[in-house]
Amino acid sequence: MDVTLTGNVTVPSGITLTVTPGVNINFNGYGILLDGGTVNFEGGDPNCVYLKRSGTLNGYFGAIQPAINYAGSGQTVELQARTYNESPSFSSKSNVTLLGQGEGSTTLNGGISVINSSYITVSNLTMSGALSLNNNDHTWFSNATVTGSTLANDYGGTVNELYRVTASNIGASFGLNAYGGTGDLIESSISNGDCAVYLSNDASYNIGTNNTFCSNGADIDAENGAYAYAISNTYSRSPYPVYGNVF
Amino acid sequence: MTLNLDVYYKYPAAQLSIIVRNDLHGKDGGNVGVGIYPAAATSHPSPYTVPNVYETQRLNLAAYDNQTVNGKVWFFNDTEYPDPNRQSKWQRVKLDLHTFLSENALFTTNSLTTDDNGASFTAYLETTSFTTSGTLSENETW
Repeated sequence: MDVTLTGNVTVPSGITLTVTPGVNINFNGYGILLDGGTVNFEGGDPNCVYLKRSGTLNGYFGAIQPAINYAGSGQTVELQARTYNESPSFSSKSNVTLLGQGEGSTTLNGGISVINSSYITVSNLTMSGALSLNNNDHTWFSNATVTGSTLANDYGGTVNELYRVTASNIGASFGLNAYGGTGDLIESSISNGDCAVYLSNDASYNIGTNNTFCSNGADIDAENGAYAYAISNTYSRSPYPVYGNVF
Repeated sequence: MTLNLDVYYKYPAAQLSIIVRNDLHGKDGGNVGVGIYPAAATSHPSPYTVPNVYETQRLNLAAYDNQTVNGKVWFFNDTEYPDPNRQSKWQRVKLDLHTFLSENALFTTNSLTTDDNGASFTAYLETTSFTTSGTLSENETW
């Protein structure tokens, strides 16, 4: 039996919603929100996306994007250890976290976009697409693996922090690709690409410490008014394949 | 020589306190059918205290399908529910002890005994009228 939501369903204090085995919830882009009430999935959790605040469960969603759209400041969209076939985006959001269960456990078959947002955190997952940043402030991307794709594209954001992220086999592309913007790349690994870090259009990034670049055509290239401040990294080869305004 | 003394005695049948009711996911409501055999069941609001019922009598009970209570449609013995543990059914409930009676909407109890005193004969109805938008106002089972 299917139950199709036609809007968000709120379970208030003192009320219990019981979902019996065999009932399939079609979330239809909506969520089941907890306002002090309880949801009891007797047949087990149906692979929901969780919305939490400070570890407290606030709601269940059937997909990532509706959860992000609903999330308010200070809330976390928590994914389970499974594969999601989505490319979610944050648009004009503030102080929201997207949290997986760890690299190799939570997998996103797609990329993530962050647009006109501030203090967005993406962490603990594997992705097949890039993190695309456009006009953001304070984006934190950590403990993540990107496979077969550009790691991140930055179009004019400020203070983008990439920490302990890995991109392998990026191919004929760039790892971190910044057209303007500022940020840091720390303790990360980028390998098997044309260029690991490409900065242009006045971008300014600290590249270090302790990044590992391996088997790239170029490890860092800063052009067109961009600057890279490289500290204590391991490079693809010697002499270091760095070009442009790299200090 | 053997002397047998047989004593035959009669005592009046005990009057019983019995309630017949619907259980709508934990709440009362709607109508139930009750009749003392051989009288056919007639409809009464739930819960219904059966008057003048005594041990050895039997009850004709009727659960009614497709009842609308507070905007929700409740059914008995339909197949909408996928969970076999949640099909509509009759149960005897006494002191939180549930005894399965029947999955039939219409049925006749066994002869009542004094152990049935204080019991409720309960029709557990189900519904597929769910709150799919907005705030739940009561417990709900999907």
